[in-house]
Amino acid sequence: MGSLLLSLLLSVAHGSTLIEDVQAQLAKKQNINGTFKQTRFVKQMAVTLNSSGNFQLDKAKGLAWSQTEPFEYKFKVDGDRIELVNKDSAPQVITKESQPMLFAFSQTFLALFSGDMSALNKQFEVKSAGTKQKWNFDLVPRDESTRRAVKGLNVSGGSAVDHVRVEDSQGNTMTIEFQLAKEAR
Amino acid sequence: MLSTRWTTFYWIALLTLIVSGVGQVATRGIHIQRDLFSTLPAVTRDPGFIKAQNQHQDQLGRKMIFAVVGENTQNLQKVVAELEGVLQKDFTNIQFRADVKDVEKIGRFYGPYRQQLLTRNQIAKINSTPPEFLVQENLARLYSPLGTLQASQLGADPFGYFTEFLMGLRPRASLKSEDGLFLGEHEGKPAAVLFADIKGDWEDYAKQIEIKKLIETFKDEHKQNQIFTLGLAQYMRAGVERAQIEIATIGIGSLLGATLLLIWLFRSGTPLVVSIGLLLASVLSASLITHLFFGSIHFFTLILGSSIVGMIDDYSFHFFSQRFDSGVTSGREARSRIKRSLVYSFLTTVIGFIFLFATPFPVLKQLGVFAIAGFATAFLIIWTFYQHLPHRVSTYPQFWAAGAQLTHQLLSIRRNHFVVGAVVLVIVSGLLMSRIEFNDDVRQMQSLPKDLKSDEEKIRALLGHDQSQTYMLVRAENVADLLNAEENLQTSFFGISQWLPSESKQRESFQAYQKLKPIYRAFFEKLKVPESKINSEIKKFEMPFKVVTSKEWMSEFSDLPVSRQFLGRLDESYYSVLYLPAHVETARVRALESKNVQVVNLAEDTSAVMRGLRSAITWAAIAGWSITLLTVALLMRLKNSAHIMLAPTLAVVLSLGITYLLTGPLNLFHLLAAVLVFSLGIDYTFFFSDCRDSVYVPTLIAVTAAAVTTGLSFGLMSLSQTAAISGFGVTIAIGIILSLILSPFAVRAQ
Repeated sequence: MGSLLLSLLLSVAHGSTLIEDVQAQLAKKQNINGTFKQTRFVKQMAVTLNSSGNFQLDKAKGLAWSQTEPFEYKFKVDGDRIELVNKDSAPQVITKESQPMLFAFSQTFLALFSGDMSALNKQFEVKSAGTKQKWNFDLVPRDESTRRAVKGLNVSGGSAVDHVRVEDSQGNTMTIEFQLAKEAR
Repeated sequence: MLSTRWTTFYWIALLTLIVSGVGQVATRGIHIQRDLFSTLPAVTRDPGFIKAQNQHQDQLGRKMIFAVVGENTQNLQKVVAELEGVLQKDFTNIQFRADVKDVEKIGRFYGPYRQQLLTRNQIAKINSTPPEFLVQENLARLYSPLGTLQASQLGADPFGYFTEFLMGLRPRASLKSEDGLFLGEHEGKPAAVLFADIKGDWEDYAKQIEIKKLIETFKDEHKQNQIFTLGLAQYMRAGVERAQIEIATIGIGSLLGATLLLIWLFRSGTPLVVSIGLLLASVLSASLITHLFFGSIHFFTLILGSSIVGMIDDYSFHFFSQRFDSGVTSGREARSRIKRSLVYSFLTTVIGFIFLFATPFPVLKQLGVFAIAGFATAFLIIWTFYQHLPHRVSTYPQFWAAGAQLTHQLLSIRRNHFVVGAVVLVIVSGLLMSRIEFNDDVRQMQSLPKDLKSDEEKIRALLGHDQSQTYMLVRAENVADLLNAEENLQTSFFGISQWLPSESKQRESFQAYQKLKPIYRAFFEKLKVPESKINSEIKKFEMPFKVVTSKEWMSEFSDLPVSRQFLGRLDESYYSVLYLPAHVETARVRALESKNVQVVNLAEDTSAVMRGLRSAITWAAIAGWSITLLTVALLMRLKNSAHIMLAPTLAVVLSLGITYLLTGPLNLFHLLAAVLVFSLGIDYTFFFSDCRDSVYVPTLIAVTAAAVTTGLSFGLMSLSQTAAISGFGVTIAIGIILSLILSPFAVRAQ
């Protein structure tokens, strides 16, 4: 019984330390870039959408996302706005005021992608596992109304985030695999 | 002198007036108007909009916002739940959580009508964007990492238009809905916000005190939490509390001081008792006659009119001061001594106030009637009654003789020195007048309590300053037209038409939505959605048009805060309120005003009333001054009229100028003070013009009594914490001192 309690306490202590260690590790990298492969499964319509492209994350300027397959489009997201640029049409700008829900989601995604655990911790219960070299975090929304929309998130990686998975309450999923460029590793 | 027959006639006339006034009040009741906007000229007042504004102001007045700051949301959940329990007794519509059931109810209600709920921007986009662009744009959004939300509604709302409509329903605020609370952040800590409406009469002071105690007790029991409150009722209560303190200190102090001084000055209690009786009879008669004349009386008339009529006691003091002239042996003789100044003073006052009648402002007309009625009553009482009072020759302390000697020396200055002095003062007055500036902004006339102001700032920061203080009132013959009228104004305004689009807009939306049928098909095909699923989604377009009626909407959502923006049927028409975002400039919105659209900004509108009243009073005062000069010139010759008019005129101009130099830009209240300064100043000069054979003591005592009582009642207002009242007091205080110094020169007008 005593050893069980001790191991439980150690695992809790280990969990919070791991999150802090990962956060510190990710914070060292101001700029990263690379490629991504995304798979979105829409359960209700029975479709799977695969896409790929490259990305650049600059902690000061935000995330620039550039999809190349199956068609080209770009989007940029920072703390103030989202800009969607479609081939042959004017850029679409989304702000917190115009679409608060989408904007809030974009900020969560940005925090997820850049490993900003302190921002995520406010909104999600974080369960951590693994080591500093190979870690895995499961996130569950703290707020009931968010839980009604998002079931949970999973983020894993090593020196950088290399996998993100989002599952909504209806069983739709989005999985993104990241491959860092050599110079960014 | 009037014959006994005329005296009897006066008394009968006065009694008839009082009896008819009392009769009217007894049968119809006293109607005291409190609405400041009813002081505006009738042409600018629309009775329907007045009702609508009053109804909405009542809604705003009973609204209170509470913010509780805590260490974490668990603590906030507990404290807010306790606060809700405590508020139940005195409050209604308590709202502190975004109820999930409400959100579901909204979704369920609107779901079947989604084709009819496109926004103006969405309709324009569908009509103007090539179909392939719409498809491509939405594909990009769905493929993007942010497409999770779109993916979850891909079948029901592929392009997110319905979601956008639903999101537009919530007024923009920086509050989050989290853990069932409306949450914001204060100094890094979570803060929960609770909205509630005061039950019953929120303007009732006892109710306001009850709420204050309730809040204070709750704060005492939750010292670990910071609690902020915001509500108009609190400001009203604080205003009354401050007024009570000021009345208790300044008011009672001045009353006591004036009483003792009058007894000491006249060496008898009779002048005091008789003067109080005269004042009461005059105010009562003035109130009844004004009520009889207009059918109601404005509180502004009552307060200001009573202050003006208060000067009546100066005549009384002038009468009683004759007791200090050993040459006066009876009441009848005393009246005879003051007869000329009493008649002239009465005449000039009546003429001056007649000019208020010429202004288009109902309240100034009322004030004119009130002042004339009050002065006429006092004049009749003094004329007919005072002479029958027992007369007693009194002695005075020796220092009055010294005062008389000083006055004598002052009046002995050479004529050209006097002229030079007068010219210098006129030039100084002219220079000061040319520099004077006005500021009618009502916000700088009031000084709000610091603790309430600080709470307001914190709550506004939590709410995100997203709503302007300006709002619009919209009117139409029926509900359908009202919704159309709202929609025709601007989409960024928040009103009931956002929740309930007009029938024409619903039809327009339905038609635009039909164009999406092939676009959705192309979109689903690009996504490689199975044909069977595409067909079942496209089948939804076959849903027929069925208008969402206001009746249907009201039966479902009458408890939502937005439903209170629909004011219902008032004055044969329907009215609603539109809220505006904070960034919208009132001046630009005013361009949208029409017969059926009115913009309301209480602070700006009140300031405009103040500006209008100030301008009207300025012109009435100039006209009144001119006609007074003419009357005095006719009665006393031009040279004498200059002696009579110079002192009060210089006192007015210099008091305004000095007040401006001391306190900054002037407003309506300074001008009202100036009118009083002139009225009392001319009384003093008339009194001095009665002096005979260099006997100055009775007049000095009368003028001192008048100045001291006015100074104690009005001058002490300069100590008030309310800027408007303090400004009024400063001008009066300076005006009295100047009148006292300058009025003895009127002796030359004999």
